[in-house]
Amino acid sequence: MKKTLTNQYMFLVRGAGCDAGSLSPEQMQTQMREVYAWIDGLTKQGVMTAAQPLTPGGKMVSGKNGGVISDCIAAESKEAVGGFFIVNASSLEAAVNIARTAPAFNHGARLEVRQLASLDCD
Amino acid sequence: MSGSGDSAGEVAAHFFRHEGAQVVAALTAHLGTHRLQLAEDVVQEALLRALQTWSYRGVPDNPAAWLTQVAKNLALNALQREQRWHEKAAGIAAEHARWLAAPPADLAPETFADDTLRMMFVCCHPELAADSQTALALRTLCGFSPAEIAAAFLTSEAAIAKRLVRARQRIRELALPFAVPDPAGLSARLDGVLHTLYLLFNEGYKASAGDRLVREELCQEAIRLVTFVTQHPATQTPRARALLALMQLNAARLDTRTDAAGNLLRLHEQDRTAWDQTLIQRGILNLRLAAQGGDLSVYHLEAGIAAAHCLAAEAAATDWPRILQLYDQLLARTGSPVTAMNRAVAVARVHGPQAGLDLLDRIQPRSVLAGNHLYHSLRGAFAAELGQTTAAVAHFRQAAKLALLPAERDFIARRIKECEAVKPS
Repeated sequence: MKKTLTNQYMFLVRGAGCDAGSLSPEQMQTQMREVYAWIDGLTKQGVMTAAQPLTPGGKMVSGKNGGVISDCIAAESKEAVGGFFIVNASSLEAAVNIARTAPAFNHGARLEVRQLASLDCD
Repeated sequence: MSGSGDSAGEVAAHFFRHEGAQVVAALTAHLGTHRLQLAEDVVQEALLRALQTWSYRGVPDNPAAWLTQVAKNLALNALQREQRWHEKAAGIAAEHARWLAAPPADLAPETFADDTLRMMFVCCHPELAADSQTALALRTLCGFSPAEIAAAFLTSEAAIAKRLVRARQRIRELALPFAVPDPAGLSARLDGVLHTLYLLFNEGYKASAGDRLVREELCQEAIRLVTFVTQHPATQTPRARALLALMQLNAARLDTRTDAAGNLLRLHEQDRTAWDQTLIQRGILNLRLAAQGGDLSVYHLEAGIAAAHCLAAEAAATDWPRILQLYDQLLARTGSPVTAMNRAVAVARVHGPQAGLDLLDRIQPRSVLAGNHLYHSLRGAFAAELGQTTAAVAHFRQAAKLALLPAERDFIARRIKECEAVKPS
């Protein structure tokens, strides 16, 4: 299989909701417009290939035979994952540089940048 | 999802504020005014969910329905957690639950319009303190946060939060109905609504107070709400339309009252070419429509004065005799010393500054005006016109002592400098 010049990276967005509790509706709208303008720009350049929010809450299944079921981390927590983006980038450094332009940082979010693993052997 | 194209993240201007307020009204219509706080809380949470969800793939095709559904689900969850919910008559609880669980089929604009109008009559209820009414209107009808309201009113966020809590408490105590008043009481209650919207506009219109952007938004919100009143069949009265005209004619000149550096400009110093002609035309049209039916309110008279200013292409062309005549009628209505003071300007323009000065001396009760910096500024201005610069400076100094805001003090300081540049009389 031909080796591609780009890899895919996932940005896991954490803690986007933890600072938002005191935002006014108008501030929320301004924030949404900023974030979406960022996504729009990257989509038009072909860098952003997927994005999906997750609903808050959910369940954690663990233990022997999956016998322990508990609540997920609270949505307001700094650790809670709010969604993900998938971008094309030539290297981890390039992906990090893209992530750094996200306006979400101004609103308390953290982005975890991870490369999607390839199963190709070449 | 409308995730394709370049406008996927766009919703109407102020969508979060206005749509949020509509959902608060819709929820309150079904759950009762005693649950206003719950409605506001779940809507805030729903807006937050919207922010977090729409920031990935854009706005859903029907954002209003999305928001309503999320808010309803959150309200249902909250009510189910409430102990008292279970103790309530099962029938009522089940009815609420049915509506909350149903998809938002009742998104008809008329339903929203009715709910918003009812919410206006709750927020502007005469049993609530006047300052609570304006704060509550901004919070509940316009979707402002307590911090934003505080910025507009030049007070602390804590003070506004307290005012809102008190207002909601009072609404619960009085068990205010979520309804448009009966025809018998409608006229008086509508006057109350209009007066609150008038205060709201004036709060934004004050040339020298608070953040400029916030003030403009206050004016725009007051215009939005009074427009709404003039469009609803239950409330479209001539005086509502006159109030709308007054707001539009004043808002048309909002931007020109200060220069680029934020200095206050007097009417004759303003750039009239920058006045918003579209808004002026709308205001004139509304004033004409308001003339039907023979009702002559203070809003008609004030709008008439504003129209006379707007229609003068240059300051020298102002129809001061017409303005004075309107002030005569206004004063006969209000009898207020402040109206009398404003009338003195028209008197001075028609009969000369000495007549204006004499009139200011005769206004009773003087005590109301003695602490008003505008009163002393006016005396200073008239004295300066008469060449009495020493007296003018004394009046302006008195005004400077009473003015609270930097822009006002700067304005007065410039007047004093102008007087001192002329040789003392």
